Amino acid sequence: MVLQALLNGLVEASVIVLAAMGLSLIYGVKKFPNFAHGDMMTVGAYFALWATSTLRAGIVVGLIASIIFVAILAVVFELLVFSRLEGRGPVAPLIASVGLALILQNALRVAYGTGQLTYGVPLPDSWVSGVTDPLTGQLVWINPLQGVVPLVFAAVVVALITFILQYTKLGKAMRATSDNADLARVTGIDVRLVRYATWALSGALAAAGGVMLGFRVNGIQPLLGSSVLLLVFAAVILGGIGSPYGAMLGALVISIAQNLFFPFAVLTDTPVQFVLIVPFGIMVLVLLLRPQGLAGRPLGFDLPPLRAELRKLAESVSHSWRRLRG
Amino acid sequence: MTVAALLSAEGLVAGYGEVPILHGVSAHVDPGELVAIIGPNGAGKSTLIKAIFGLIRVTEGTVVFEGEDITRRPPERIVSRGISYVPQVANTFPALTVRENLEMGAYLLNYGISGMISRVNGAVVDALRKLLGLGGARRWYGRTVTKAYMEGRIEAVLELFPDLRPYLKTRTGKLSGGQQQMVALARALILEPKLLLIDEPSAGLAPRLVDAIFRRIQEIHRAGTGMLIVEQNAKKALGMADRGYVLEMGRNRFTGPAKDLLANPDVRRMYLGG
Repeated sequence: MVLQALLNGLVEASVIVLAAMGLSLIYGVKKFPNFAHGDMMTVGAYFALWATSTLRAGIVVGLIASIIFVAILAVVFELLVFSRLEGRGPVAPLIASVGLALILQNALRVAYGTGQLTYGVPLPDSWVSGVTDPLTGQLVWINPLQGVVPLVFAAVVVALITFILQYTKLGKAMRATSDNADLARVTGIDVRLVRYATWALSGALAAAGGVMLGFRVNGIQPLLGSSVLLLVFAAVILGGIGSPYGAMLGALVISIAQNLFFPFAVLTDTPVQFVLIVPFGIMVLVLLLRPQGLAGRPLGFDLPPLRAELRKLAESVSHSWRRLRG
Repeated sequence: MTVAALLSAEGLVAGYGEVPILHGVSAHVDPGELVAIIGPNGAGKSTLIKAIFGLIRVTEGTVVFEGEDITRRPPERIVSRGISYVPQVANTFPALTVRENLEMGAYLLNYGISGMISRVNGAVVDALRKLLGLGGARRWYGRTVTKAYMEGRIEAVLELFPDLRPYLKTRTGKLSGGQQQMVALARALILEPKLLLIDEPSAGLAPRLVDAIFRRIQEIHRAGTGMLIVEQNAKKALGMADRGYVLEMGRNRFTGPAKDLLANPDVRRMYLGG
C-alpha cells in the first residue's frame, strides 16, 4: 500500500499542481490570493462538457476550447474588476475574488443543477502492474483515464510553463514584475500587458486543472473546483506564495503526504476522516518554521531599504552634530 | 544658457499626496553634462528626480527633454524617450539572474516573436481606444531591432562592468551590495539613454565600493551620457560633477559649477562638513 499510496499521491499532485501554479502566478503579479480560482476550474470543467456536446467533438477539443475560454474569462475579470482595484492593497481584490467565486458557482448551479455530470468517456479498466506492494502484497494499479491522463498531461503543462517563465521575454517579464513591480515599471516593462498575460496563463491552468479534476473524480458538479481550493492554497503556501516552482513542490509534498496517511491509518487504526489533518498540519508547521515557504524568498521586509534608512538617519545625526559643534 | 539644454525642469511643485515637497525647483542638464544634486535630508533631492521621471504628481512647473514637454508623462514612456532611472533601493530584480536583469533593461527592444507580440498588443490597444472613444493617444510599444543588436548592447554594458561577467547566470539577490549596484547601473544603460537619473548611488555601500561605483559613473560620463545624480556624499559628488545644485527645504539654495560650490564658504560650512 505504500507504493500504491505514493502513486496515488503523484496522480493527485498532478491535478493540484495545475491549479497551484495558476494561483501562485496571480499572487506573484497581483499580490492577492484569488479565491475565484477554484470556481474558474469548475467553469473550465463545465465548459469542456458544453463544448464537447455542442461541437460534437472529442474531449481533447473540449479541453482546448475550455482552456481558451477560461483564459479569456480571466482576462475579462482583470479588465472589468481587478485592474480597477489596482493600488488599493490586497484586501479589496481578495474580497472581489470571493464575490466572483460565488457568482461563478451559483451561475453554474442555475445552468446545470447540482447533479453529477460526466464527460461520457467510458471508464477503462485499470492497468495492473507486475509490482507487488510490500505492505499489502497486492499488485499496484493505475487507471489510464483517472491516473495516467492527468499525470502525463500535468507533466507536459509543467514543462511548458517552466519554459515560458524561464525562456520567453514575456515569462521573464512576469517574473520581474512579480519580483519588483515598481522597478519593472521604470525599466519600461509593459506591466499592464504582463498582468493580462498572467491572468490568461492562470485561467488556462485553471481550466486544465478543472478538466483533469473532472477526469480524476469522474464527475463534475458545481463545487468541483472550490472543494480542492483549500488544498491548493495549502500547496501554494507550503511552496512559498508567489513562486510557481514552489507551488510544484508544495503540490507534490501535500498530495503524497496526504495519500501516505491511508496506509498509516489502516496500520494504526486511525479513522481515515482525519486525513485532512495531514496537508493542513504540514502547512501550519511550515508557516511556523519557515514563513516564506519551502522555495519562497525570505519575507525580508525589504532589508536594503531599512539599511539605507538607518544609514541616512545615522548620517543626519552626525551631520547635525557637526553643525552644532562647528 | 546658450546651448540647448538636454533636460530642463522649471519651477517644479510636486510631492506625495496633497503636501508638496518641492516648492518650485528648477534644474537643467546640458548634453553630456554630469550634474550633482546635494543638500540635507528632506531637501527634496530624490523627489526632484522622481518628479522629472513621472513617478510622483507634478502640480506646477514643466519638464522639457530635448525640446519636448514630458511633464506628467508615465515613467514607461519617459524611458522610451531616452531617460533611464536608477532608484536608490530595490533597483534590481533579485530573483532574476544578472543576464535576465540586463534583458529586462532591454525590454523596450523588441525582436522576433516579442516584437510581433508587442506590435499586435499595440494595434489591439489602439483599436480598443478608438472603439471606446478614448482618442488616439498612441501608447508606446518599444523599438524593433535585430537580435544581434540586442546582444551587442548587453555585450557593450558588460564591457563597462566586466566584473559582472562571471555572474551572468547567478541570481542577482545573491550578489554583494556593490555588485548589485553595478547590475542596476548596467541595466539602466542598455537602452543607451541620453540622460541617466541616479538616486544615491553610494547608498549602503562600503567606502571602497563607493569609489568603484563613482569611477564607473565617471566612465559613463566620459562616454557622453548626461547625468543627474542625487548624492548624500556631497564632497565626492561635487568632486566629479561639472555642475551642482544645492537644495534646501524643497527650494534651490545654491547653483553653480561644481568647483565653485566646493570653494564656496557657505556651502562648505553647511553641507561639506567644514
